[in-house]
Amino acid sequence: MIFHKELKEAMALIDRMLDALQKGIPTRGTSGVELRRVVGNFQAHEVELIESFTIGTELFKCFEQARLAGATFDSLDGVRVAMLAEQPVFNFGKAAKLVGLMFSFVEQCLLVSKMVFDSRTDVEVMLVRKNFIIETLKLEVSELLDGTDYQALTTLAAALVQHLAVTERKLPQIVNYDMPTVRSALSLSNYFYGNGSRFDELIKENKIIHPLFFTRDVHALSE
Amino acid sequence: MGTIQDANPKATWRKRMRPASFAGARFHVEQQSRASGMRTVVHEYPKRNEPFAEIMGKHAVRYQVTGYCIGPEYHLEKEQLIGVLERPEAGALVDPYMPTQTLTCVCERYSVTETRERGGYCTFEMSFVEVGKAGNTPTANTNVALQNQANTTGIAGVNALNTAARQFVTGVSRVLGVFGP
Repeated sequence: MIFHKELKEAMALIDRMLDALQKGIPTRGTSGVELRRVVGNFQAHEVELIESFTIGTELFKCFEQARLAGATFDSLDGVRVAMLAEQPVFNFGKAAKLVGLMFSFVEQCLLVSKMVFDSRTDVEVMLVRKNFIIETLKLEVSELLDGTDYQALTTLAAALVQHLAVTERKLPQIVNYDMPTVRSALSLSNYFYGNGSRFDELIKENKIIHPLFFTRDVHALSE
Repeated sequence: MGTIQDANPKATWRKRMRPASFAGARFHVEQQSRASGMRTVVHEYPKRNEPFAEIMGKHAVRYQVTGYCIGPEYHLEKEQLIGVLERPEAGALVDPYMPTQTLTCVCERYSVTETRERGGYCTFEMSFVEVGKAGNTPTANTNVALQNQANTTGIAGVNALNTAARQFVTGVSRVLGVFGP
């Protein structure tokens, strides 16, 4: 039965999507329990949700709860990678794959909107990652989405790039210093910023083993 | 052996001095000048003797430094200094006479001079300008705009899957007469 095959394919794909979504998220704590409850409820009533045309709404709730339960940018990337590996044959499965890609991107954008960046370099790294994701996504979804939905996706991509660009402008640059001698973290902090309290920031940025002995090539914020 | 800082214990300005450097590259200072001030617009009114100088903010701090490198390994210091002066990045300029204020500057222009008669010695003429911060950054709340657009796109995804479910169920119902609300 072709309908049975189509239904089975879509449900299996969504199950794999939810498995990827739950990977790396702590299952303990109130939000973790709530995530398991939402996903369990979804899986138990999947057929009824399809029948009542509310499967999209409930699946989005799972993604929202995953974010609240502590999904990270990388764990959501896992969903995207899992969905890109899928090769559904039927339309329903194709739509499920596409929506999985969209939802993971939407949740990643919501995470980025609350991220705190320390330097321009951090934002640039994020921009490079996002550009790759956006290009892949556009290629995947352009055939399946209708005009308005595709426009919503491209507008989201534009809003994300704009947010990152504006965030980047406000941040200090990472500057490379070539010091003539080996110095300690406290001394460098005092030398760069006029006070010694930012030594831990320098240690973190340069991944120094012992704070007394900095390498001569120092990366530090310009202000 | 003492340093020049110990020459006169009463000269506290000497004790405050620090070696001059730019982005970690040290040099000696022969002469330097610092320039800044307030930007003003002077309004002079007809039939009135008193002008009004409107303060529009501070001028960027500019340094004009004549420095030098000297010694048997002066060429290494020279190369290091040229390296940081030509780098397209800002760096900390340590003013030896004002050690409490390290400015982040960029070198606008420099020239280095070496002469046959003075071996192991080179002179740098350097112009620095304060980098400061990017001004007039748009303060639009891009966080909220991004969150709103993410929610809109999420709803678009919800509708896309709900519609796919509707098409699937309608197709099944049409063919088999079962399945559907």
